[in-house]
Amino acid sequence: MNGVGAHTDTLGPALSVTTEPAEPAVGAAVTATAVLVNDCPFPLRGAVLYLVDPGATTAARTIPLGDLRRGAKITRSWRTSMPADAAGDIAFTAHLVFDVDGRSADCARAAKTVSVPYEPNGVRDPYRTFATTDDARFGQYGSRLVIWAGGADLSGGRDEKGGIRLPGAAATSSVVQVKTVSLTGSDNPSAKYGIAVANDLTAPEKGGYAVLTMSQSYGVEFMTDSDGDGHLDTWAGGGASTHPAWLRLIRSGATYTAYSTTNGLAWNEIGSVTVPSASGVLDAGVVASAVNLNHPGTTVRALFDHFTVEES
Amino acid sequence: MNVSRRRFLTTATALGSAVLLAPPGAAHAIGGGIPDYRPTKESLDTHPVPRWYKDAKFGIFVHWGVYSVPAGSARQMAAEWYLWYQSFDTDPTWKYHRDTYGQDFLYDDFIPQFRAENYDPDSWVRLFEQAGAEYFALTSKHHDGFALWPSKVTNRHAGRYGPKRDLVGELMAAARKRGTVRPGLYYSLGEFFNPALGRPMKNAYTGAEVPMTGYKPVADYIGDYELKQLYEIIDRYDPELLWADGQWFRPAGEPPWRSEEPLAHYYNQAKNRSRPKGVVVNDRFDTHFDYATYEQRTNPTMDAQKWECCITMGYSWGYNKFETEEDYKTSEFLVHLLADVTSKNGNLLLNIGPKPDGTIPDVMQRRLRDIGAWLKVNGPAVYGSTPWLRAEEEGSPLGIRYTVGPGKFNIIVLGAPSGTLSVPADIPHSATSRIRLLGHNRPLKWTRSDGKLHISVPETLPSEIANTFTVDWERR
Repeated sequence: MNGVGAHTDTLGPALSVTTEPAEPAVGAAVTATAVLVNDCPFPLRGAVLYLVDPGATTAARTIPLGDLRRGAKITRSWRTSMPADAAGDIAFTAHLVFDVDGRSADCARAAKTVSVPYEPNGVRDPYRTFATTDDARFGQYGSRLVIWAGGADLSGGRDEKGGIRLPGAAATSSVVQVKTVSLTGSDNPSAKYGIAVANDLTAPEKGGYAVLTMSQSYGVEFMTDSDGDGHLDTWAGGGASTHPAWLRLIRSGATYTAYSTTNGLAWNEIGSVTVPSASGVLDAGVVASAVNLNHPGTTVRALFDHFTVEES
Repeated sequence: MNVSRRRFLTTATALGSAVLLAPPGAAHAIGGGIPDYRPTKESLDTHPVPRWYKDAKFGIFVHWGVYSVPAGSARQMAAEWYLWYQSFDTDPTWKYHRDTYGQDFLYDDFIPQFRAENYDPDSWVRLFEQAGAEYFALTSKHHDGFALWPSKVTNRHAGRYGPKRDLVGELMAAARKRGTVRPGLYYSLGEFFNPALGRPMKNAYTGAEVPMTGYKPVADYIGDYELKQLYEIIDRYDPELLWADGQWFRPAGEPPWRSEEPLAHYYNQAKNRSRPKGVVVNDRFDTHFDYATYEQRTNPTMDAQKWECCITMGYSWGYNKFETEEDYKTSEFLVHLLADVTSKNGNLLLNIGPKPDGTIPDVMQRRLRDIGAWLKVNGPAVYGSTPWLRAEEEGSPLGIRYTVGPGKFNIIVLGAPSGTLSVPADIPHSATSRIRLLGHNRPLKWTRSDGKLHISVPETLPSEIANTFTVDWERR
């Protein structure tokens, strides 16, 4: 160390990932290769290379590389495949951690990304779909749920949406949570997507109905049916919209409390409302509406991840 | 680790300062044999993010200026934009200003009340140290065009009006003297109003054009004024960090800012000295950048591109006298944010807004000291760390963040766990690994089963806010 540390300022090391074939088809066998060149002006100490399959959060291979001198070149391949149930940006990733010296650690990360369009491939058990707009379609890719939907509005007046539900999932004390990843296909600022619960989501007039959504541009909306007639008649929310975000609906008997967060650190309470008609175990699910009353013909694609319903 | 880092910084800045005393001609290009940067984006893009900035993780943003005198017009109002809001009759600040000060009282009439009479830059730096901050960025000039240093290209500055002091120079000198926190400067490229921008100042109630205090006429806002000011703060104060802003307030005709010229100079003067130092710039120079800025938000995912979350404690960047304690983020949230940002390859630049007399509001001091107290114990999991394979267990109710330090793997639990802490077993460990809790003096018992590590949590924890479990990681 020369006292000012500038000699460890570096753009490197250089890490890259390629695949064979270069543009693999869904389900195809793939050989992915990570190439690491230490072009830093110092050795990488205790380097560990992680090779990660698409959609995975754990490594397919963990490779301790030891100390890597300046100029060292390492090539490592792993056999994997394009997942059959994934869409979006499919990434074959290499992540390297190393120590610079006794005071600093650093990392490098690279990925070969293949874009696969989301298609309405339907949902699998235990999920069910429902819709009050006739153009809704649905998809499921791993932990991701997708809804394509039109719909004039999703409010007390008109309730037109597409939905994916877990029948009888939300116990008397439960937490329903989802990550709203993205809402695309329309610039309509009122378009929305989020959580819905009801005694029976296919028949809101049976009571217990509420929705908690993130709109395209007008923030969070928490609407409930306070008198059990199937129409949403309370509203709370507003503010700015963020995508992605997290929505959480906590049920404690007939009391629903809604939260949102943009960072997973601090949950903002949107409102807490009593829905006296809530009874027994509720349906819980995700919904989307293009709110296209003033944008005729437009539809949205709503992408969700990590939808969970847990007893609390 | 924290102690040795401080010692290192002291040495580094002392050496850096000594270099500046050499005559300009004595500097020569060593810098590891790096050729001089040219004023092109392509050339500037070869500049690395300096090690110190990667390691620092936590800095303090300081928004201070004439706007701290009116100090806002309401809660949840960005006080540093007072001049702009006051200029439009559609904004509540327009009415507030008229009702409070009268329609003939101009924004520049606040300047004499910006006196900095209790400004103690040494105490500011000590507070930054106590917060555990590794760098700071002071608003050398915000959008109102009032410079906090005696600029040669305008008389609109704190040396001539208001405090009649070099507020920038005093803080930079205090930082260098203590050698503990790296000094940086914020600079707004554009301004709300400036005759040279084609937007002269006006009385917002009569529409009459009014003089801009201290304005020296220039023909070219960028070439004759803005670029010269950038060169001034680079050459006069030798900051470690330059934080640009206000690039959207362009001169008429929207010419390019030509930031490549001062940035090349900035990089070259930093490396062409007997002991080169690393400097860093944000992404609002309208050209090359070293790191990405996330203003009032975080990057939700780990990003290989270095980034910085800049965020206010309350709602406003400048001091807002209407904000109450409940408007401020809690210390718990701020510590969690620091851990989250660190785990995803970011830095946290946390803002304070001093009062016009130079004192820092108590609530801000308390928040900073709370963070410092946490970092004093948990700093080894933050400073000098780097992201692991994944930053967190997304979708899990367990609030944890991972970082990697030299020879260590860190599990930062956001909160106070009890009983057994269970984490996925792919975290680095071996059968003989020792797991410790920072701030606790004995290794912890742990077992492995069902694909998880189960760590016995002591009954008494070092922190109610967040706790760090470290795993020795030889990696050989």
